[in-house]
Amino acid sequence: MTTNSAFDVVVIGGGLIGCATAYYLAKGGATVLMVEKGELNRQASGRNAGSLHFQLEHRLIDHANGALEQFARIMPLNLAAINDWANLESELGTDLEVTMDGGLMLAETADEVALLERKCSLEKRWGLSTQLLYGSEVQKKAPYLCDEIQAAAFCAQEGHANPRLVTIALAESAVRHGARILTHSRVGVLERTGREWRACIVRDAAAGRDEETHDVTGGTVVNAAGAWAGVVAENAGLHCPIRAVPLLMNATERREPFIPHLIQHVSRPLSVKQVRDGNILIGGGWPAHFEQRHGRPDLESRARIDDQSILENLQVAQRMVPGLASFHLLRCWTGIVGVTADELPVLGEVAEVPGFVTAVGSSGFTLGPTYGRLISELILTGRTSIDIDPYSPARFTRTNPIKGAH
Amino acid sequence: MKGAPAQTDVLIIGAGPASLAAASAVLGHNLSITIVDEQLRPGGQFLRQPPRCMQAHNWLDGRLYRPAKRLLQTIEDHPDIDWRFGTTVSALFPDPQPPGIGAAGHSVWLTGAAGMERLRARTVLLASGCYERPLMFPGWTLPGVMGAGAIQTLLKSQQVVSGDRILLVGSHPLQLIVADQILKAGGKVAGVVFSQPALAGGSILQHPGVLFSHFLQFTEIARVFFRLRRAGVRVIFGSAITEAKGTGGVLAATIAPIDSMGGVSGTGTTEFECDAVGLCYGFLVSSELARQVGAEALWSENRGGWLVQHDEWMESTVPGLFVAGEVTGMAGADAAIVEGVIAGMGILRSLGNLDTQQAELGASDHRRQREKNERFARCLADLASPPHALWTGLMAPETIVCRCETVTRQELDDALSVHTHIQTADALKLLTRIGMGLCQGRLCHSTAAQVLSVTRKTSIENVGSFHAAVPARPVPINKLTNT
Ligand SMILES: Cc1cc2nc3c(=O)[nH]c(=O)nc-3n(C[C@H](O)[C@H](O)[C@H](O)COP(=O)(O)OP(=O)(O)OC[C@H]3O[C@@H](n4cnc5c(N)ncnc54)[C@H](O)[C@@H]3O)c2cc1C
Repeated sequence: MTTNSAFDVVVIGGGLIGCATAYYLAKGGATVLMVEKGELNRQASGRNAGSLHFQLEHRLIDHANGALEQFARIMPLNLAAINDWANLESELGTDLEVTMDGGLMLAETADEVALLERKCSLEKRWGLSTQLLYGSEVQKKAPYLCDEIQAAAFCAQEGHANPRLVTIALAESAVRHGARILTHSRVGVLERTGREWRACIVRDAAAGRDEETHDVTGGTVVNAAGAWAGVVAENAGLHCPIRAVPLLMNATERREPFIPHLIQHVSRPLSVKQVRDGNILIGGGWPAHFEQRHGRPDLESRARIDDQSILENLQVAQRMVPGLASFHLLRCWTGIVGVTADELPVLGEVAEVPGFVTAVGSSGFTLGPTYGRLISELILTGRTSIDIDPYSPARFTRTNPIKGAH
Repeated sequence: MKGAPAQTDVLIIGAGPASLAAASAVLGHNLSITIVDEQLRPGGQFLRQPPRCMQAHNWLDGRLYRPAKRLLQTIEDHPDIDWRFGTTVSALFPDPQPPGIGAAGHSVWLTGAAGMERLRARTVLLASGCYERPLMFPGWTLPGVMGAGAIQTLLKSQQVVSGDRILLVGSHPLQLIVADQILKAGGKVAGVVFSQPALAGGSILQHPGVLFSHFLQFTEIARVFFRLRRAGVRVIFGSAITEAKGTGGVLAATIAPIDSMGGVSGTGTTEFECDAVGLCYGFLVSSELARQVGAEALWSENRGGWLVQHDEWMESTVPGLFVAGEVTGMAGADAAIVEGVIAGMGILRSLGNLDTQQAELGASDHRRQREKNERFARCLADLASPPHALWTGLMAPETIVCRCETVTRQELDDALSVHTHIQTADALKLLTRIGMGLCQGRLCHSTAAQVLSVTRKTSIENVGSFHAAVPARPVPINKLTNT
């Protein structure tokens, strides 16, 4: 880079969270460099299901009962995200195919109904009003669902947006506010010198040019590297307990709209929705496999599809929405998401390592715009409009020190 | 399907010449052999057979067809082969628990009328052939504009002539053969238009070795050429189709002279009245199943796009996955047969039925023949391809590139000029939906990559292909959920 190599903030990662953070920071007047090792929106943010889920998800409920209370601490972020999504299209001045026509979480057995009820009352305590529908009420709301469903939790604000569009729109808006973006550039070693961070950037070789390395400095760095956040932290001599998990997605051919809602299941991994183009996206968190390289999981290749996952995912989906039977399965793909042990995100910095801000984890499509807004508040003003202490990286220092050599 | 998936030693995908040759090489070694093809009878595109209930007189009686027809006769209905016709390999997966020691193993989804069946295979031979490469120009999506090969398929398998007046345009000599077959079937040919200048055919004289080894092919083409001339068919050189006109169907097509770089000169256009246009600008190989499991493929503009790379036993970079025929590079039926035999030896060697020396014995003659075929194929590929710029130079802004998702050239250009970070075909796909439709990008992938590579001034290798996603062909969900 020839002109400037000193920025207020260097954001690492060109996914939804990095782009949202860069956008709100640039809009707030900071000089921002966002660095992406590949292309924008090509990892989790461009490969996810696009669900906006504000109810507690199956993977949270699924854990041991006592933990449900603990997982429910995500709720303030979910509530904030409802507003952020309702405003995002006007904020960015563009169509993101945001649909908030409601979401249904289904229960088939008596046990599942009980679970659903417990979940709803917990959500109510946190301020989210989900409505419980029983038997024929479910059919009335969603006649395309199978008859066997005993109950459903309806959250009126749930829905979906198009992952193909959101991250790119945020990136473009960030650039309009003066942010700089480097793609095909990987952030390597990060060193704190005085009050600044020095980041070594390795730009891929391209036609007529070898691999290039150069340094930039930032008053703050934001680790928005998704499933790779652990590696980025390591490069700064820190520890960030993020596990990379590969997941499956399925898409059908396009047809006339018939599913207006987001469909989930209370005890099975499932998400079903119909996007504006007419395709039905089916996912919910079925596993894929990492390719191996030198005997280790290879995070740089696409994760390999597990055919059993496809079959089971489709079976659950078709049982819930029988009309899916005649749709053609068109395309399956995988994406890699970064997960924490307690399912809550890692947001913020620890006092011992000032200027190293982390923003990863949880349902990062739903919550990404909110993370970006909160992180920019933190960096620009030192305060956040929502308490992010429950998500502080400091919570890991007891068992698993996030602070390393520094 | 309940219980454990069925298992086979050798799974051959496709039942064309490469497949049949490999099968006959592998037969007699006490191995279970399964051959899968979407068609109802073996033969592939080259020997496309009519349905059994139909009597076809003089079916493919040309000399070119003889060796492959002999092969077909010896193996069709062979009882030691598990034939699966009307069946599609929808997806190929590495087998997480390979059957047998030393075998890498794959499992496949076979979908047919009855549903989907999972089959595990110790070795797989991909002999899935090729399909016609579309050229995009204003009007190419009109009904009546079709591949010359499709016209030929309808003749071979259904004895149907595709129009009352058919114009053939392209760069491949196959269009002469198709024109001849149309005339024989009683149809009319409006003209045959080559993008090459008239003298290009003469440049074959610079390759006397090839001319000698493949004399039969050349004399056959020359005979057809003069037969067409005698029948009064106009054969025009140095021109390309620039537009197909009509509403609801083709009524006319214009052709214009092009220069050696593929530039269209505005003057001297000719309009042909016709109700069908056969495009014959070459082929793209069906390598998606191999790419699906990560086999290395390299781009070749003139030999069929993303060609699967292989070793001297026709084994791809994915152990246990062999390739033969067009998927290794367009070379025709004779070459496919030779590769099929070599792949058969490779399979026998990898399964331990032959040691290397024995396999070499079975392969060596074919290896020598393969070298000759390769020389011919390279030479033909260069002669039979249009100039590079033609692929991207004929479209108008509103010309559709992806007909499944209705993505126009203008939309691609806009996306690329606004989103300057886009460097790969997959990123372009994610942003514009190009290639996301029912044909899964088969028709538009090469054009998309070429537009991107021209715009970004970079190679097709850098741009990459659309990711070869599972499933390889769309499958109804209930076929998958009933298994
Ligand atoms: C299949 C699937 C379905 C999902 N469905 C949903 C859903 O329906 N709803 C929902 O809310 N969430 C969903 N998620 C989760 C959601 O997609 C992620 O939480 C979210 O996209 C995370 O955004 P991100 O920006 O952190 O990650 P990413 O989009 O992965 O971005 C991280 C970026 O950092 C880059 N990077 C990494 N290391 C470096 C480095 N050293 N230098 C430079 N760049 C680097 C990477 O290349 C990558 O582009 C799903 C995830 C998957 C995989």
